[in-house]
Amino acid sequence: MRWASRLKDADRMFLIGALLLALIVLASALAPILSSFDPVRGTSPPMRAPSAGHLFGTDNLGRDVFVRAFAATRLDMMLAVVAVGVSLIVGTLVGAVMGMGGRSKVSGFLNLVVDSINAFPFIVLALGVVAVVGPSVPGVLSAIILTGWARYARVARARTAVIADADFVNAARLLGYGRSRVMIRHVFPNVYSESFAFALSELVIVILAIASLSFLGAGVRPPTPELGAMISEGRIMLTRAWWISVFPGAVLALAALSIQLIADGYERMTRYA
Amino acid sequence: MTEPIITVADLHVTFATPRGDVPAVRGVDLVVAPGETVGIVGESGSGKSTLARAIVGLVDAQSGSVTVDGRPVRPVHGRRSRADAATVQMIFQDPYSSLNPRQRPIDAVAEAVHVCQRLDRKASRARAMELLGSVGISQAQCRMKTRSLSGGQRQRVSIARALAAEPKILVADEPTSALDQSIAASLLNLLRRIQSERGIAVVFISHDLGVVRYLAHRVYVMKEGVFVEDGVTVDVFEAPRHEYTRTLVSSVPGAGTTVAHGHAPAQE
Amino acid sequence: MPRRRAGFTDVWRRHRAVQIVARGVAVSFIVATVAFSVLRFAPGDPVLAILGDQATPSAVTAMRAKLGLDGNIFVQYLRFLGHAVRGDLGTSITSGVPVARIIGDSIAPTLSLVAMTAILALIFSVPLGLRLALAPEGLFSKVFRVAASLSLAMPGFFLGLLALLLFAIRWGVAPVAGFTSTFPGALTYLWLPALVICAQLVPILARVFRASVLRTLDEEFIEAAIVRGVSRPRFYWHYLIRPSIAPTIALLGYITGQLLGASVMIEMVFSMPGIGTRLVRAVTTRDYPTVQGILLVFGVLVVLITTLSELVIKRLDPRAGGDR
Repeated sequence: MRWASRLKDADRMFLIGALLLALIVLASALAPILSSFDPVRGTSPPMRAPSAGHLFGTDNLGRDVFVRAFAATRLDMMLAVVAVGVSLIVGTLVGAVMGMGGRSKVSGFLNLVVDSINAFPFIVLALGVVAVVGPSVPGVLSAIILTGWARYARVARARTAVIADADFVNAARLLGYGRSRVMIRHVFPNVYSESFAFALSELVIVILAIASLSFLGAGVRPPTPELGAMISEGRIMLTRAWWISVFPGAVLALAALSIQLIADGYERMTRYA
Repeated sequence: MTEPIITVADLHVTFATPRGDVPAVRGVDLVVAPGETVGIVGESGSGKSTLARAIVGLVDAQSGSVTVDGRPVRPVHGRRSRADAATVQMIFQDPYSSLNPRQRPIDAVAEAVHVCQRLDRKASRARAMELLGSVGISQAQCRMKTRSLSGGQRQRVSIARALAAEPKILVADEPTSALDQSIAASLLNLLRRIQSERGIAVVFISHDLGVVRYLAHRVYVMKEGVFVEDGVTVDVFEAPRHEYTRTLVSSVPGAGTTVAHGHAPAQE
Repeated sequence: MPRRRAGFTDVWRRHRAVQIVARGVAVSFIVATVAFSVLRFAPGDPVLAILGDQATPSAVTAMRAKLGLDGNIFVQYLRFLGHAVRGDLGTSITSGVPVARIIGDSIAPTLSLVAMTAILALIFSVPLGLRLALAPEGLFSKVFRVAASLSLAMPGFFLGLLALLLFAIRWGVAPVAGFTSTFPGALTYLWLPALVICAQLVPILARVFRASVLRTLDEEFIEAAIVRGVSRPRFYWHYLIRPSIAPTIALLGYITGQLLGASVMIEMVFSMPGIGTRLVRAVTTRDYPTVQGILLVFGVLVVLITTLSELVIKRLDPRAGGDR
């Protein structure tokens, strides 16, 4: 009984999340194309409250906040997917090596690196990387990847240690498969599926982190439309023109929520299915 | 008498645990002749699974030796040669963890054929089909996802995969304990057929006396890491000499027939 | 058998505190290594970033020496460690002030914020977790679940901005910016930012506390207490809360990382002159010695709080040997 109701819950969460995400993706794909407003150059009267012509109003430079917000969402999502993808692949590979390595010196060293990177507050270490690379798209990407891979490595390390003990891996060894074959064809694919579920939930954290860095002025810089940077830009006008900050914030929260729902639903579905 | 294909001499295996070293196998001697089926019985925790793993090289001996086909067994963590793979293969207890969930049966067996027989992709698949057919897996099942196979079907796939190496010895560690009675029986028939057709030596580990009696030519009785009795199956079961064997035999009603214990299937 | 093991754990427990501290020191050392590595191993050259592409070679050499980036990497490392142990974290490029002093001047608001948040978080999550554990199904739990998902998906800085807009600007019940280090005065500046962080911290902590109360409820001594007729308040504190609180505090130590991270964002939103604000300013002005110093301090703070929370757990719950 409880199992069934949970499964239904998970399905519902996944569905609502997916619908919400589809809407956001659709809007961010279409808004810059269909709208006549330019996301970077202002052509309308500045600081106009939301109306039929400008759904989210206009900012201090006369740019349409709706078009800008969804152009920004597109950028944030793409950055997040790339960052998560790269850290997922790198981290999972390293973690798998660590999990297989047992007590070798290499895996001992990697363990140390992974644990000490994870000891830091994520955003703080990311800020450190941005300091060197510079506040820019490559800066944000390398900050997130350099600090993020270690979390996947931790997940993959634990999972690999379990898989490496499974009987199908023992069978593979008994059949005389080489180390790399055992690793690539038998251990890695099974570690990967769990890491993927983890990556979905990380996507939320990473989107928020990208926006956070840009909000702090240590990420994507204006005039490029980016949600965190937009919220930051609108801050000083909060009392006079709340929509400049609040709408991008709402879009960011909705995007994060939709992915969160998908991730939670997916996790529960795979756990109870 | 022919040269034994397995010789285990004074084998000790110890596991390091946080609470100190725990001996699992404490001085065991065992011989298996080519083409012979040897049963090892004992209750859970008696060390029989550890012994099985030591024979194939999955656990390291603390002292003593395991000689298989004239050579000391090599630990699997090193590189195993084709000859090692063609000597001994193993069937595991838990059907749900003994197959890679990411591989279909045909892929799993074809991979084994490809590596062990050095056949090309196409020939490997053809041979794998043949092998799977011979263990009773239909063409459609070969291409099914492993996830959707039953425990019995999985064990059959495992057997086909092991046979791909054309081993001289098959070590089966409680291969039927997770299966329903009728399915277990047909799997035992399959093992018996393979044994007689191919002349493979089989080391069969079980806590189930009925199963061992049905399959084994000779039997060893294991308790707390040592053998307490061994001999030709019929003798051991009809006239047990050791106290422990007597309790084992008497605790199973009609140990002469195939009685599979209703073991809870392992979780997926 | 139980006798022998009790003797063994006794000896082990006596040294447990020493062990915890020793590990803390070791991890601090590793953390220092990471802070050191960021400047050296991140892509890009900090010296060229400061001076620009057209810098003369002599200027580059001088700047390298100033940043401690000259010479062999091992020599650099030993020099960095040696200075750090003596409390010398270098000098800010932009202001010429020693980094240690910058940190000393700005650490009070950050630590007060973290402490305030931690206390508030415990005050909220303990009753919340109890309520959730004692009535696991029902409207309350459902509402909690939805609220938790919503608040976790909310960007922290945006939540802070909304709170600032409503509480400080619209209703005027909180100051818009700043900080004072006098004691009761500081609270007027701290309560709102701390509440904002709590909005995201409490759902996690309450969930952990609920889980551990559920585990405690299963234990035999609960039944024994009910049979003996222990008074209500005593029952709640001694039998339910105390044994269940250890995992929550353990997580708090773990969450300190995120807490410090969150405080960086929240300090910026509420314009508090804390160490997070300093870090962001140093990053945007490429003041490398300051960035490196603050990274080190953040890392050591996390280790320190983790170590402290482990010691507290040891006091609170003798059952928690630490090998949870």
